[in-house]
Amino acid sequence: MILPLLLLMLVATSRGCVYEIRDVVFYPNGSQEVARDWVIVDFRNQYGYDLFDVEIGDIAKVPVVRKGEEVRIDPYKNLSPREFPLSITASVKTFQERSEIEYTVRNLGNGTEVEVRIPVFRDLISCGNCEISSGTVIFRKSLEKNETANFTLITSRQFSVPNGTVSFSYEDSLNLNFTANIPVSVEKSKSDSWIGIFKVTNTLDREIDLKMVAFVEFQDGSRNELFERYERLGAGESFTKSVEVQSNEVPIFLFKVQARVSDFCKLTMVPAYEVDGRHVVGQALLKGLGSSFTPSYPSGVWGGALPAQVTLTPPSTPETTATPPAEFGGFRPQVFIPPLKIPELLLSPYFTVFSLSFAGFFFVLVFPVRARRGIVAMREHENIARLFARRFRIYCPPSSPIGYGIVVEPDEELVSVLIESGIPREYAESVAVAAKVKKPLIVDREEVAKIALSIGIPVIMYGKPRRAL
Amino acid sequence: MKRIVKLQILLVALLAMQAACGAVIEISEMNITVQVAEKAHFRYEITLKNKIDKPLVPGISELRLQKVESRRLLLLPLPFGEKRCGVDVENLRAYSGNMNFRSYYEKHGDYSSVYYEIWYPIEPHGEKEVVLEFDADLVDSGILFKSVTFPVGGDTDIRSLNVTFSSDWNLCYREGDASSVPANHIAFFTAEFSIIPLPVLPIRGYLLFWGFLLVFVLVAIVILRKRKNMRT
Repeated sequence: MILPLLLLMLVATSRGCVYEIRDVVFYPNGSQEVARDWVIVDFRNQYGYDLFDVEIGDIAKVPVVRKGEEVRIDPYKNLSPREFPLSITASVKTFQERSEIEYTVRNLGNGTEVEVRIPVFRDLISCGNCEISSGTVIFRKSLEKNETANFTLITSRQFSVPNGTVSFSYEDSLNLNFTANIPVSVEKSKSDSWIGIFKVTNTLDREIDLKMVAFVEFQDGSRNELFERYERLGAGESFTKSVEVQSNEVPIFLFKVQARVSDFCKLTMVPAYEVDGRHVVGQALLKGLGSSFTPSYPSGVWGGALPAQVTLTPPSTPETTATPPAEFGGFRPQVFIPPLKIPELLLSPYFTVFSLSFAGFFFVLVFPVRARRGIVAMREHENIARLFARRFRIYCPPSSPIGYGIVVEPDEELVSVLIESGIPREYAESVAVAAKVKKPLIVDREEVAKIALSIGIPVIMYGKPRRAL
Repeated sequence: MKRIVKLQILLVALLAMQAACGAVIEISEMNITVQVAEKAHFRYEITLKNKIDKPLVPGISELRLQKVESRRLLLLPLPFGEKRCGVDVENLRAYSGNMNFRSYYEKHGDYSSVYYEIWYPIEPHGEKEVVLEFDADLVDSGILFKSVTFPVGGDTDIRSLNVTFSSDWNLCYREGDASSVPANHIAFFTAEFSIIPLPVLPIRGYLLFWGFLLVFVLVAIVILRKRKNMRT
């Protein structure tokens, strides 16, 4: 039950904002080991208006998020590994013919729903305070802060509990602030003196912090500050201020307003476990335990709460198709593939070939390099570019290569700026390539053509003008 | 040949991923475009498929490149005593739409590793398209011919593979037609281009061309000697 919830939150998220994912292994002595701790942003603008200069905690800054738009960012922000406020402790009582393993799940954080899943194993007889379904022992419980819950596995006297999984999530809040469009007006009138009326109305559905500066400017270019104010306006409230200016000239009133909305967004912390360098999100690994193994907890993990003769089993497969890792801590996948032998066929002709290679020099004279003019095109315009190909060199961006074209690496900074201006990457790259090689650009989209022309690139338009987006 | 370099490129371990057994991810489609100029511009369009019913983070993926050079006597390559070394990589980047991924490469002792990191989850049973691009010093260039050879494969199933070569020279030979690569297998792809307008040949163009020239010269020498002997 909790798993589908987690999946919904992570995949079709519409109310989430930031997710913190921690690779974690729980040990049955109540300890846990967190290997990697990172965050991702999945933010949807549900405010009903466009947001600008959006700051999501100290994790990400986004220039614009349109109304209803979803922004997914991989900020590559690794945090110092922190443990979850959850512990799972197993204690074993051994009787003449059976053993009882009591798992104690303790939640030290905010309320959460915990689900423990352990594959049914050979020595299992029954379980208490849990259910067995589809070959899996399932314990599911909503735990408030500082609440503890138990479940018991009845097994043979000798037992070996395989690895399982633990699902849960914790929620917290994160600072979110942004600016938005609000109406600002300046009215000018004249009686004995000039009067400027400055007005700001908070049309948003929440409180805003305003920084307002008003100026008056005269025709000789001189400028005087009339006032500087910091105000907090509630939803629907207005700020109005009038200022008189004595002048024989016609003044120009200027009003500079910065509005900032401070809000919160949801931070969801979820576990994950590593499978050969990949990370399965939504579940932590719960190490199994056995009745006749030597303890082998990682250094610094042993909590001393586990009874004697109870230790970990080697990793085994939980209820999913994924295979949990044998070790944690190494993030970079190491794959060894033995070096390949070079076929002799490729080696033997070299001496012969090179002894005669001088004879090829005359071909250089036969095939002189032709200096041709050039144009920039992308794969979408291949047919049009083909018309130019006999007389023009065809340059193309790496994201949209043309078979007979020359790929030119664009300036990535310019590409980023162009993408931010709202055109797709391949178009942004083609514009950047045209700027780099100083050649005309073939384009069939009006928006792209305008941007190209604005930075001085000649454009060869064809087709019916279309918008880029 | 101007430069006596590479005999073959050993690309090892494409996209180091999960073990083949119980694999949680696969490459459902991989389109590789290789633009052969002075250097080879590689563009991998990779579709990663999450095979399980939980969100999956691909994490760090690795692409290993290795170049093998022959030892030289003056300017001539010797057909023995190969030397393995890493490959210089430039203009490396990885992205998906407008989302950029961290990518970097490291030159180790005798191979180079290209890394790219994806820490954003892929939906359960969902797919993620990633583009990886870089320039690599892998082209075996000569006066009349230039060629590039690279293998594709790793420990992840590649369900659908399509490799496209392009150059401003004429394609005269191509080898490798694998349309899929199982996990832990490697498929080699070779393309040879010539400045001479040759058709696509069944064997390497430089072998045919220089072999033909060698035979022609030998025959000419034999004929000239015979004529000289007959005169004397």
